[in-house]
Amino acid sequence: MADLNPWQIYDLLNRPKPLWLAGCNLYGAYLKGADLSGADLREANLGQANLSNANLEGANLAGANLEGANLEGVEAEKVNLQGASLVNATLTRATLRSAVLNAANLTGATLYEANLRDAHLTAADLTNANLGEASLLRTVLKEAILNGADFTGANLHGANLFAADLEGAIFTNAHLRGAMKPNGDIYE
Amino acid sequence: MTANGTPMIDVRDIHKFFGNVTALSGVSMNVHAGEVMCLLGDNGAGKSTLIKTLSGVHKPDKGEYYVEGKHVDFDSPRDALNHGIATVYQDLAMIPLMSISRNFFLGSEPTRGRWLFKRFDVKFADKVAREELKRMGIDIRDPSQPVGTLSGGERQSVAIARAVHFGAKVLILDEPTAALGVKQAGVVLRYIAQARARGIAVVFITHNPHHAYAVGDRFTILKRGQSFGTFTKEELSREEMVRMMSGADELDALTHELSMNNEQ
Repeated sequence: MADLNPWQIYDLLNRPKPLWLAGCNLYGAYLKGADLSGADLREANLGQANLSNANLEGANLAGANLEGANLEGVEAEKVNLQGASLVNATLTRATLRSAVLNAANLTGATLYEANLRDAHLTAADLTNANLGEASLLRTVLKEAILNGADFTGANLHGANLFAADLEGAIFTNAHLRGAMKPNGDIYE
Repeated sequence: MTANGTPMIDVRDIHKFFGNVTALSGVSMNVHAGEVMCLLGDNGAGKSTLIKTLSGVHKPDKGEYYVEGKHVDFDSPRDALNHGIATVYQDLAMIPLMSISRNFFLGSEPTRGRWLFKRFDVKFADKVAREELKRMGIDIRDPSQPVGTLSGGERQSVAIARAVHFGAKVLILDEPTAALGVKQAGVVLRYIAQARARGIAVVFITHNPHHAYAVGDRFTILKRGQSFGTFTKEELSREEMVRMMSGADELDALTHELSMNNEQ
């Protein structure tokens, strides 16, 4: 469990922003709707935490552990999740516009209806992730591992799939026109 | 992918249409002070349309344009120039038969004397042109020699030095190495690096990945009017750059065609 009790977390969230929580252990913490915009959460442990509808805009979560975390409806524009672990995390309807998720592990994550417009997911692992109905407009998925990922109904217009591993990926009703294929050509 | 601080110029989701032709579709890019941002793309990728939009020649049909964090709406290239955005086009806008110093001050000539005796201050122009070019590391023999006697690389360097002298904070270079040999291209690349060292934000448009890789800090790939991401050197190799710009089909077709020619 988290190193902090609920009262300490409550006190922390009401301190002047942005918060400095680098390396903090917040495992399983209840942070629903919390304002963590611009917070420094590098290498923090947020495994199984409830961050649904939280504000993570511009926060730095590079290398953080978010395994099994609930990030449903989170507002996380320009968030830095480089190298973060989001295995089996729930990111349904999350706003991750212009976010950096390079080398992040999103194996089995649910990104249903998530907004990943202009996000960078270079070399991210999205094996078996659910990206159904997600907006991936101009998303960079260069060298991403997309084995078994479900893109049903997703919008990938202008997305960059250069050198991505698409084996077993599902693109039923996905909008791929104008996206870059793994070999550098464009989907017509 | 990221750089710190407020960008010198920042365009977001730029669209440009010419009739029913989409020249630019949702292009976003930015450049910071003391940074070289390379815009890479093959012919028809939208590079020229984008720089004309950046330099105030074209008005974007959709999208936002910020200079040093402030929203701008340029009506003419003069507006861009007033914001410190100077563009050096491929044709350089130079008059070959005029001297280096006359070309250096073209449109902003220093004068001496009054009324009917007002005339171009040759001595001052020669002195400033020589000093400015020297600051950029260009040692010219005689500032009164015609620009036509200079090599392509030297002419590009004069155009860059001129833009820097007139207070450019952002330098947009439209394929400055396109028609140059290896050595001359090297000269221009050195001046680009010097402009960066002076804290100028440089947008370097090219379709040559080797030139881009030599001086670029970040690289934006343009293809069919779309941006396919901005990358740092760590994120994108030169080979990947080539592959992204041209696509496999085109490269493979060329390889096949060349091998057929060799067999014949």
